[in-house]
Amino acid sequence: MISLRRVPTLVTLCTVIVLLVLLIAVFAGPLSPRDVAEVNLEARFRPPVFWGGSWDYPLGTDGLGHDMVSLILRGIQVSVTVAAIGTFGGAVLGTTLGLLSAWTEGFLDSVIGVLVDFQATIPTLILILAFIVILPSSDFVTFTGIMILAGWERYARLARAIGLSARSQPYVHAQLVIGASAFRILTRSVLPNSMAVLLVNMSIHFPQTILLETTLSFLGLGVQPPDTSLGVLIGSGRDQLYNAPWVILTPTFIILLMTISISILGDWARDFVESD
Amino acid sequence: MILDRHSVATLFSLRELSVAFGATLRHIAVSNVSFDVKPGEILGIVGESGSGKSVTCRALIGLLPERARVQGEMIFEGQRFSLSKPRGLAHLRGVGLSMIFQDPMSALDPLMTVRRHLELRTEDDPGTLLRSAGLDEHRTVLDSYPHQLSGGQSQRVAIACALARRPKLLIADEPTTALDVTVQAGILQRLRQLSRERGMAIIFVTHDLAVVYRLCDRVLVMRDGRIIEHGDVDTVLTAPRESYTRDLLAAIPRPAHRGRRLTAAGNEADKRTIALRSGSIASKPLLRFEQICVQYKRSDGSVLEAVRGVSAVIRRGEILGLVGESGSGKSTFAKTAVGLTVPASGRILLNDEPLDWRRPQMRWRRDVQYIFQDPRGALDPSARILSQVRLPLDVHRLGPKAERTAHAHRQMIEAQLDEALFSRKPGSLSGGQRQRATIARALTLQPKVLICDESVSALDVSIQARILDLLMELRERLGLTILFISHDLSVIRHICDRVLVMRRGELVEEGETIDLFQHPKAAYTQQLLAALPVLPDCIEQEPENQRVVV
Repeated sequence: MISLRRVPTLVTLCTVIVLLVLLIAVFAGPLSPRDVAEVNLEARFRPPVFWGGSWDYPLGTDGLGHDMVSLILRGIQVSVTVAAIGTFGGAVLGTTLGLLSAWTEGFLDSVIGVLVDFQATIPTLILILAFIVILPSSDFVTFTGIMILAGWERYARLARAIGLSARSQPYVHAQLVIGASAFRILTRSVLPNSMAVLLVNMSIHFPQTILLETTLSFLGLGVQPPDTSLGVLIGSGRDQLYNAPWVILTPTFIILLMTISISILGDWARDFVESD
Repeated sequence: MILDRHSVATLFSLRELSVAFGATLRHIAVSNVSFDVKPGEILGIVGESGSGKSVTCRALIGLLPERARVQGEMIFEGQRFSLSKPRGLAHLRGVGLSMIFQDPMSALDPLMTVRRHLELRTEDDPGTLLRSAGLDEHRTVLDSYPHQLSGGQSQRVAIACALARRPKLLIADEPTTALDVTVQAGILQRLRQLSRERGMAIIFVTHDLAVVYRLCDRVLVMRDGRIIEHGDVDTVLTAPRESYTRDLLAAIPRPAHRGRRLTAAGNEADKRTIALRSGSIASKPLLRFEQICVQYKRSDGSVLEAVRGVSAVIRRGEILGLVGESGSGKSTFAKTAVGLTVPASGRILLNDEPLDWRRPQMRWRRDVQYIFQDPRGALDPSARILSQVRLPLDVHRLGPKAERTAHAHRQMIEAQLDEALFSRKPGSLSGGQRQRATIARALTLQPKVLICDESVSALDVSIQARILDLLMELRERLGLTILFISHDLSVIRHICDRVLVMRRGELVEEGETIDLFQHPKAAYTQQLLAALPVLPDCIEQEPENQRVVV
């Protein structure tokens, strides 16, 4: 097992940040000092405390007098939820298709292979824009569905490779001889053995999904107002970059912190798994 | 002072070598090993895995990883070298000392031709060099890449590389372990010749005492990083002083003890209880192979016939041996019985019922079980031993869960697995324990036929002996029918009632074990038997007799 003394300080710090973000994602509602939708036109563009503002609005307000603390808490919640569903959904979908593809070979393998290659050749952003145009509604469920579709391909590729190498493993042969079904071997034996690789891949994928969500929301194609996300906040802060830079800077800084932390954790986890 | 005693006749002395590994250097791989080698002498180092024999060799040539702490010194032609500073050894490599490894394929650079390998090392004619390593077909070999060579050829190329700068001492670390017996015999003969012709000393590391007997002048027996016994080969192998050496020798199957227990049993009478059946002709056929053909498509589209029309019968309660060198198709053939390979033509009958694995039935799975060569790979690394042994019962949904667990428990105790190991994962088990677990797993379904595919080949002799004893005992008690596949003729002779010999996908010879070993008919069988290194027969089992010799 991991002995805690050997974990580098930076990794510990990142773990704390990630845990904090997760806590915020779960408890954003109760933690918010004000209602997200509360508008106070008398308190527009109040600067944050460290910018000469007051403790009424610790992180200032935006152009409609929304409390930035509440907005950012809600933004983190939405962004992390979308990214988490996108990452996990993509992992489940991709791994299932990948293992299926490796095990069945033949026609299904070819079809999945073509889909994977198709998605890999087209830039993700353009593909997603196409999805958004095609799909009629633009609610939350559709959007997370799109996030899932954006990331399944890498898992499918990985799981297919794992499945193919597992097929020549003696322990898989041994279970075939016992009479175990392919489903049983894949779910009870191949999957647990490749979990480490998949988890590490997810930790690398997660920050990319956050960035993708914020990019789309920034462009106005993702989460729709009045609901907010970190991307929406950045989008709305762009217009006031000169007179109220905190509106754009605070969510940007949080995205930076979050993605760097998760990436460092992922890198460390990968090194840890590979060295073993 | 040592130098004074270091007579002219000694080429090489190792003084008090100790090697420790690990962050705290708590794992001691070799402790206090000293020995001498004379010019032209062949010294064998034997020991089981983890005895420190390879580590000793690597320390001599400075190939241990940085994290190893090496102490000790060596004297080579009167010059002292400290082994704790591997840099100092660099200019000795190739000229003074040279080394060949177990796996010749990975010792050669895949991107260089054989000619280039040799030209890098010497300006002499590479053809002559190859011929001296015993490669007569050197013209074709010279411009080949390593992947185009067979295992035996590439080991000979590796030997030629090692010889290129005329070393005075050649260190050979299990150079023939991965090779077939006939190829091994040729290489051993060539090494012996080279040592005679050039006066080159050889340190030959192996786990096989019979190879030592065939090749070496002197032998060291190592265990747990120490030298247990050393002396002339004849003395050590016929009258060993140490009980460990004696056990090691007793564990090796040999003709005189055919069918006997190989490990010391609780009482003396038990030693002879496990007798082989002779003339098992009377019993009924259980598993029948009829004209089995297996074909593979090569990547260039041509068809490789791995098995060509092989027919065989396994009778109820017998142990049938299947012998062949690598590539003879013996595993491919046996795998057709469990549907791991699908024959292109031919029939397999179990109890006169045809098995068609393209339409498998769960019933057949219970009757035929397969044990693989590598027990490490055959167990799921992430699952606990108990659940893996219980798995067949879970798959076939036999009885309630508590009963399955109890049955798996009983099966593992029967396979002599310690109860403390049940909830462990395979990673923390030794090779022998893992193979016991795979045997227990195969037996939970109470199969009629057990196919053992090189099941003891990857194990140390003492562990091999215990597994062989276990198999014979199980046959005796459960009336199990076993198809035993091996490339090791001495193991086959030890436990099998009848033997099939395969070569290049065809059946070469078939017969009762004793007949076949005493009067082999086919030329190939004769060749195999001639190549088999054997131990001296005069060894006495009882310790009382040994003291007389000492």
